[in-house]
Amino acid sequence: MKSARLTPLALLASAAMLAGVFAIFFVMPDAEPPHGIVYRIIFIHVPSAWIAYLAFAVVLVGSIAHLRNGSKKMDWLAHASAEVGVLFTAICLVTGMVWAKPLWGAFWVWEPRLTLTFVLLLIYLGYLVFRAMGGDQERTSRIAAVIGITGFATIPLIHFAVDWYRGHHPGRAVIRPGGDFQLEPEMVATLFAMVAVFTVLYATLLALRIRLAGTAAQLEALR
Amino acid sequence: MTHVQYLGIAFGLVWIGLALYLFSIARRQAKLEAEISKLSARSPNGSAGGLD
Repeated sequence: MKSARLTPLALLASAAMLAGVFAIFFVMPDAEPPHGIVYRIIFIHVPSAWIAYLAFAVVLVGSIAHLRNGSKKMDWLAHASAEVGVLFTAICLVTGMVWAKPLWGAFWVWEPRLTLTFVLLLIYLGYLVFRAMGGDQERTSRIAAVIGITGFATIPLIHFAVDWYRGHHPGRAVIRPGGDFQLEPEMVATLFAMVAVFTVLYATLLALRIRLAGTAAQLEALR
Repeated sequence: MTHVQYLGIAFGLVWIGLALYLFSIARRQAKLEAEISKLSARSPNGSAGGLD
């Protein structure tokens, strides 16, 4: 992607992030105890989880396309999305840990959703390490595509873990009646706005990372 | 630690993570572009193909 096309996207992502953070800190009221002020972590924790899902879904699509027709661009897309997905999975885990400490009394609990998310991070870290090891380009891409496709199986397990197993993590009913932790309507609206903001940020990082892959291919061709 | 401190740590870590990732992409991009310029400069017609 050309820099001229990337600049508006990067500016939009930056402006949206600033507006989002302003709303989180200066517009949103505190939640009911014990969540108080620290509940605001939800506005980065949930969107980063959504981006992790989205990023690894893109890895799945790119990997399948690469295996079907050997498209290099689809391979770049899968590789780029895996890298951004690992970043957002790490953000999701770290923000969750910081939020857990004041509420659960511990940064980490080996409960199903947390453990499976950690496994997801390890799978895609392995994917990136495998790709970084080099070797025959075509073979590496095909094996990486298989890892990218099979790794996606973890996502539904993570998503439904809160329904299938009893753990510390709140259920999916944050925005539905009867949940463990209820948000006011304006908080839900802000949460969805932050999901949109993070999606723009993901698109920006993905475009930057794909441009990097294109430049690397250009250099390889020159050599 | 207070809840405000936990909130500050969470947001701080997110900004640091994003900034480091952006910095790493920019650094890798600059390095590749510098190598391309170097290879292109060595070629009389602007292409380094086959010189190495």
